[in-house]
Amino acid sequence: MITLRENEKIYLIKRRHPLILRLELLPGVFIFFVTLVLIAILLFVRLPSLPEWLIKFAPSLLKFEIRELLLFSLSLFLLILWQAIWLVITNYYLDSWIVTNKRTIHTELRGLFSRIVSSVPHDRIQDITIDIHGILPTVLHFGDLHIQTAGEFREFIFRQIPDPYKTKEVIFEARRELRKALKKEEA
Amino acid sequence: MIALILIFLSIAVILFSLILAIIIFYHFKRFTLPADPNVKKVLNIFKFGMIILILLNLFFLILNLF
Repeated sequence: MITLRENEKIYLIKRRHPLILRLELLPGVFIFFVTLVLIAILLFVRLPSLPEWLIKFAPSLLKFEIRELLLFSLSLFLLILWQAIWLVITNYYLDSWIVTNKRTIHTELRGLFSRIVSSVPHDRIQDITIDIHGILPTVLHFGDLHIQTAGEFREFIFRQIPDPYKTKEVIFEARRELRKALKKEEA
Repeated sequence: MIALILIFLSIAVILFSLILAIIIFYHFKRFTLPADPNVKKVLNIFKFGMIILILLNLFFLILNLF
């Protein structure tokens, strides 16, 4: 689990715009439902017996019905498709940016066995730029937010997040609060 | 022979699904915030969907074998 530091409060949790997830899921979900409809049709429709050339090739197929073999194959396919759809969802859900009162945390899934968790303290932030280009991002208000930092992380990018301007304000506000707190501590 | 192929295919895909499910569960448990209320909901949908599809597959396997 991502553990927060002492007195650390979460201000924002950002993921890519839901539209991005929907677009990525669309082909998989469409094929999933088409397969479900095919299964439903096959359950009630009688198909002709297997072709003779196939029975000559594999006589043991005589014991099976083409309809049941198809139903079995489609159910296997559905199971594989379910996993593929959930891999996309997992990838979307776990690519997140968390803005707290002290830092910004980024978790990213790169393949099944590779994950990156990085964070940048707000006092290291030098500048934030927003990059929105294209019709869809302009209409739906989503885009990339680049954080330029001093130190080891030169740039920290929030990709395709909704409301990047609001996020920028929240980060700047958090930075202001953190700097005030640090000054108080120093004094 | 065909029956054996069907059983092998079924076991292979179910095992593959279970391994993938363990990986997905691991990622969700390991890399989310402790107080995230959506994680349990999301994982439940995934789990029950997978169980239903595995049962469906086993049902069609049995239908083919007997």
